[in-house]
Amino acid sequence: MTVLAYVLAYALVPLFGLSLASSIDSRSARIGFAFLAGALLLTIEATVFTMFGIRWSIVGLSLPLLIASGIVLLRGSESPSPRRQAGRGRHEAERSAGEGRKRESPLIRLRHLLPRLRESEGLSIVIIAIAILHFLLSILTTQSINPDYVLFWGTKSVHFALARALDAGYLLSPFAPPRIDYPPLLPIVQAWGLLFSQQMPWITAAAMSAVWLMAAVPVINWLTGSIHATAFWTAAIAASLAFCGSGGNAEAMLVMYISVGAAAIVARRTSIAGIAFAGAMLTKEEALVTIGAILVGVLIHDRGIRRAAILAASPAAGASVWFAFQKRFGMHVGYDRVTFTHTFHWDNLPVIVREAPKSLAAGCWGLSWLIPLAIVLCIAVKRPRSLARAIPLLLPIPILFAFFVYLYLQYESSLAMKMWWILPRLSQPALSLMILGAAFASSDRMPRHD
Amino acid sequence: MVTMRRVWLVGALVVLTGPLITWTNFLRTHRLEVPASPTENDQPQLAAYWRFLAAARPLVPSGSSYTIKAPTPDDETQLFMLSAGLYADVRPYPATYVWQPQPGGGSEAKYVLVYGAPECPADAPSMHIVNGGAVCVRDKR
Repeated sequence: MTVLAYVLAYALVPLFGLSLASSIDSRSARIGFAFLAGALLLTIEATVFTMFGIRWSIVGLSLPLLIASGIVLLRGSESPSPRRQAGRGRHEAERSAGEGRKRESPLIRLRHLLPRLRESEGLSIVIIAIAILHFLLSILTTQSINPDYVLFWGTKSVHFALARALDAGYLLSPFAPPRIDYPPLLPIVQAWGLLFSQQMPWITAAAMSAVWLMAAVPVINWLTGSIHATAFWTAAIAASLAFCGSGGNAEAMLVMYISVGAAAIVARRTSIAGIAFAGAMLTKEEALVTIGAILVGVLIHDRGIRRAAILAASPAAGASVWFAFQKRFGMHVGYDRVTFTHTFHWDNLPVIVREAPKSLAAGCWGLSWLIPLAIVLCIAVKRPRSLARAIPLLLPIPILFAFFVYLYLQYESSLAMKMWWILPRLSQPALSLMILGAAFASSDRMPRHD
Repeated sequence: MVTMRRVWLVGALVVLTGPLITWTNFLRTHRLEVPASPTENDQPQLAAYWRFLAAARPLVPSGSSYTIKAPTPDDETQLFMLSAGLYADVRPYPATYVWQPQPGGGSEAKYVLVYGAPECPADAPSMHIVNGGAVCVRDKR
C-alpha cells in the first residue's frame, strides 16, 4: 500500500506541469515534459510555501498547480497554437481515414496500423524499453542505489515530509545532514511522495529515478526527430546511470534536465530549454558549470547574445528561488560544492590521464562515448557544415573536460580514488551532449521545429 | 539516412552488451530476492548498518531519544548519518558526529543502539538483542 501510494504521487506530477508543456504537439513528449516541468513547479511552490510559513499538504500543493494547468488547457482548447493546430490537422486526417476503416474487421485494421511502425522503429522501442528496464531493475535489486541517497538525499526528504516544510531548522541543526547547500528539487519531489505514503518506501523511492529517464525519452525523441538516435541515447544513459549507482540521488534528474534543455536549444525551442535549465539549477550545483558551457556554445553559434541571455535568465531565476530561501532562513547563500585552492599540483596530470578512461567507461567500456565521437568525426570529414547546428552541444564537451582537469589539478590527495568516485557521475551531462550533438549533426529532419 | 539509422541501432545494441554482461555476472552470483536494505548488493557495510538500525527501530518509540554506540568512530558516524532517515521522529544525541566525539557522549538519550557486540552501558541495563547488536534502555529519562 505504501508503495502504491508513493507511485500514485509521482503519477500526479505531470498534471502539475501541463501548463508549461501545452505548446508541445506530440502527446508523449507533452506528458514527459509535463513531468519534468511539474517537478520544477512543485519545487518552486513548496519552497515559496515554506518561506511564507505555509505548511505542505497534498491539497495545498496540488490545487494551485492543477488550476494553472486547467486554465492553460482551457485556453488552449479555445485557441489552439499554430504548432498544435498543425499537429491536429494531421490527426484529423488520420481520424477520417480511421473512420473509413471502422467498417473493417479488427484484423484488417491491425494490418493497417502495423506497417506505420517501421521495423527499425519497433526495434528502437524495444531497445528503449530494455534500457529503462535495466536501470529500473538495477535499482530494485539494489545494485545501483547511491550511498548518498541513504546518507542525505532520502534523509532530507523524510525530515521535510515530517515537518511538512523545507525544514530550515533541520538543515541548520547541530546534527545537520551533509550537503545542506544542495538545491531542493529532489528532496521535495521525494517528500511529495511521502505525503501520500506516510512511510518512506526506500527502494521504491530510489527506483523513481528511472521514471525521470522514462519521462525524458519521448521529449528527446520529439526534439531530435530520430527514434533511432533516441534509442542509442537511452541505452547509453541508462547504462551509465546504472553504472554510476544513480538510484535515489539527483544524477538522473540533472542529466534529464540538461539533456532536454540542450536538445531544445538546437531544436530552437527556447522556452523548453529555459524551463529545463531552471530545473537543472534547482537539482544540483553542477548544473551551473554545464549550463555555463552550453551558453558559451550558444554565444558562438548565434554570434549574438540575445538567445544566450534569455537562456541564462531562466536558470538564474531558478537558482534565485533557492538562494532566497537560504537568505530568508539565515543559511549561507550560494553553492558550496566546489572548493578552489588555486594551487596546482602538476604531478596530478599523469594520474588524470591514466584514470580518466576507466572513469568514462559508462557501463559499456566507453562505447557510448566512442560511437557518437566516431559519428561526429565522420560528419566533420564528409559534411562539416552539418556540425554547425550542433555547436551548442559539442563545444561544451571540451570546456567541461578542461574544467575537470582544472579541478583535479588542485586535488591534494587520493586523486585516483576521488576521480573514480566522482568523474563517472560528473561526466554524464557531457556524455549526453556528445550523443545529442551527434544525433543533431547526423539528422536531416531538424527544420520540423523551426 | 538509412545508414545512420542502422549505425544508431547497431550502436545501441552494442552499448547494451555492457548491461547484459553486468546482469549475467549478477545473476550468477546472487539470488533474486527482496533486498533487506537499499544498499544490499552494492555497499555491504552500509547494508549491515541499515539492517541493524531497521531491526532496532520498532523498539524505539517516536518522540523519544536515541544515541548510537559502535566499535569505531567511523562506524558511529555512518550509523548516525543513516539513522537520521530511519529515526527522523526521534531526538538524536550522537556519541560521535562527523568522526568527532560529542560532549556528553550521548548520555542524555533514553535508548542506546549498540552496534556489534551486544553489551549495554552500565547506566542502560535493560537489553533487547536485535540483528547486528542490541537496544539498551536507560530507565530514568
